[in-house]
Amino acid sequence: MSIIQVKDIKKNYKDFEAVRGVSFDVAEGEVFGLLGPNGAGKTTIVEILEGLRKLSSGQATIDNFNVTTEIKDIKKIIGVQLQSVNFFEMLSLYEIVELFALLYEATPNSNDVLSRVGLLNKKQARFKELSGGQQQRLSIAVALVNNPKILFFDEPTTGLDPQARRNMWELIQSFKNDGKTIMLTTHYMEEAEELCDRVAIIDEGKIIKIGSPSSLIDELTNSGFKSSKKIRAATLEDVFINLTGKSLRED
Amino acid sequence: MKIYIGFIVAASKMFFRRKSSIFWTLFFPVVIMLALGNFNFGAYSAPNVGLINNSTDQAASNISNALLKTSTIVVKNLESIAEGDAALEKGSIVAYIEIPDNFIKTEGKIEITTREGDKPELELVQNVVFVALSNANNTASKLNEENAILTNIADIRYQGYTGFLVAGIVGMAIMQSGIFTVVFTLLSYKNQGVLRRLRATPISPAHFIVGHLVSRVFIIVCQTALLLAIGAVFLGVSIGLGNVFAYLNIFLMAILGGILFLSIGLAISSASPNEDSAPALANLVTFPMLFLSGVFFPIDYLPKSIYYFCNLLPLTHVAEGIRLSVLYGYSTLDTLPQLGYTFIWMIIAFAICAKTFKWE
Repeated sequence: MSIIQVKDIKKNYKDFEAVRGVSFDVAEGEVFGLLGPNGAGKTTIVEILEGLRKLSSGQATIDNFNVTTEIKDIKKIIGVQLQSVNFFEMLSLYEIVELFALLYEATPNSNDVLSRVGLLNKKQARFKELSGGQQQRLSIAVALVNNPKILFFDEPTTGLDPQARRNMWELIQSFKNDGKTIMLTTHYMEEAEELCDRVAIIDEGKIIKIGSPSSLIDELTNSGFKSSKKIRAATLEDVFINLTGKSLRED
Repeated sequence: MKIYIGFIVAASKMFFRRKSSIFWTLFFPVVIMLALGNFNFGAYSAPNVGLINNSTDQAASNISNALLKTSTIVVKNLESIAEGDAALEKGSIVAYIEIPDNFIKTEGKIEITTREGDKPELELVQNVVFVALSNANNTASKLNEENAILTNIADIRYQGYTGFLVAGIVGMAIMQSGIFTVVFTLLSYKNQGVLRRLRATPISPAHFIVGHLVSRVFIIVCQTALLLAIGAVFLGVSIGLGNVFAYLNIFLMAILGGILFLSIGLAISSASPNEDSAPALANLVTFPMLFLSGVFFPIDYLPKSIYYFCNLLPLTHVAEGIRLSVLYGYSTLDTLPQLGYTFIWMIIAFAICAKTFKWE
């Protein structure tokens, strides 16, 4: 059963077509990735589904709510982590979570929410005092306040060090284990391979391929493709993590 | 309702935690109030003096012309004693001269009315009138005698320039806090993406606008009380003549004026294409009002066209309403015209703010 249905959506900015007729479905409980280079239109598509931008044409529904006419209902059941975001700098993390919970008229235990993303020991800190990884984790904590069915993560690991990135992957994986549907945009292929059940590869506002990461790799290798890179048992990142440890450095 | 309260509490916490915003909210008004309040501006220009000529006699008209020509005082024609008392009370004149209708014929005397404590001004006006009497060609010799002039102290309450200024500064502070604090806060929220994140939640702009307005209005009311207390303690201004309804009216004016200028501030931040243009736009709006709304000096005797323009400005009515309550103990019913103007401006400003508000 598809919880997100997108049919031929387009988004134009004056003469520029940012999204040129994109269609896809996301099943309930699935982690769906939108992959593409910078400026491909990933964020625009996600922001249309989040209600931050209006469609030029086409149709999209989330949990049977129409994004054009029922966006308020959609906002209540989704959790959003935006690509670059700030929070009120004069409030503590705990107060930020409490305030956002109020905006959703939800009553989560704010300590539990912060604990889930590993920020309970920072509950009295201000947003500006956090490291990049911690800021992203707060953004995810805020996305959890309404116990959403669907989570939107827009480049959640951009700018993070390998430890913080792996920690974020574990966090996203844990949401998947909870049965949440996750829509993730990224331009890190290893991230998509690690987390996504299916991915859509986007370029210049169009989807050029949809499938599971392994099926897309198989398809390429079956066509006779040979990587020029020698496949090794470990990557440089594995070396880095092995030497510096898995634990987060910012705490 | 919970969402509104949540925003009000959060916005108030954020304001009071930012020490610099508290400092700037009070620093300028207090410095200006204390600096100008101890300054005698009257000493630097010829004082305004009212003239009521009740006589149709040629001699009276000669004296009147002579007075109008002198450069030592600036003579303004008035219609009645009531008008003279009102102008004295307001501080727009330092004295008024009345030429009685029985002047010459029945030895009527010219009367000079001043305020308690205006001795130097009285002496100055006395001299000017005496010179005018002496120079009037066809006056009878008796008029050259000093006893042709009577002096009076008007039965009014006048708290000097300091009293005028304290009330004006309170009005000015409402405008400055209303406009500048929201313009900068909102622009920083916009630029940092805070508003964008709020937009992704199910709330409407009304929650955010009203939450912010209410918290800021509360701050403006506190600021008003604090400035008046400073005026009373350090400058000796008597506030509201002990009338509770005058105090209530001051806070009512502060609330209406607060909403009015906060709405203008929100509209400015929506209208500004970027962070650089916002301060310029805010100054463009506030600067004329600072000098043309009767904050620092009475506007009554400005040239007519400028005077009419002054009366269109919202701060003119906010400052005047507050001044009437502060200095003369006027209650809400006595200041209905000022409240009415402020209310109309508030509705216009709020409508513009609601219409132009943008999350991004």
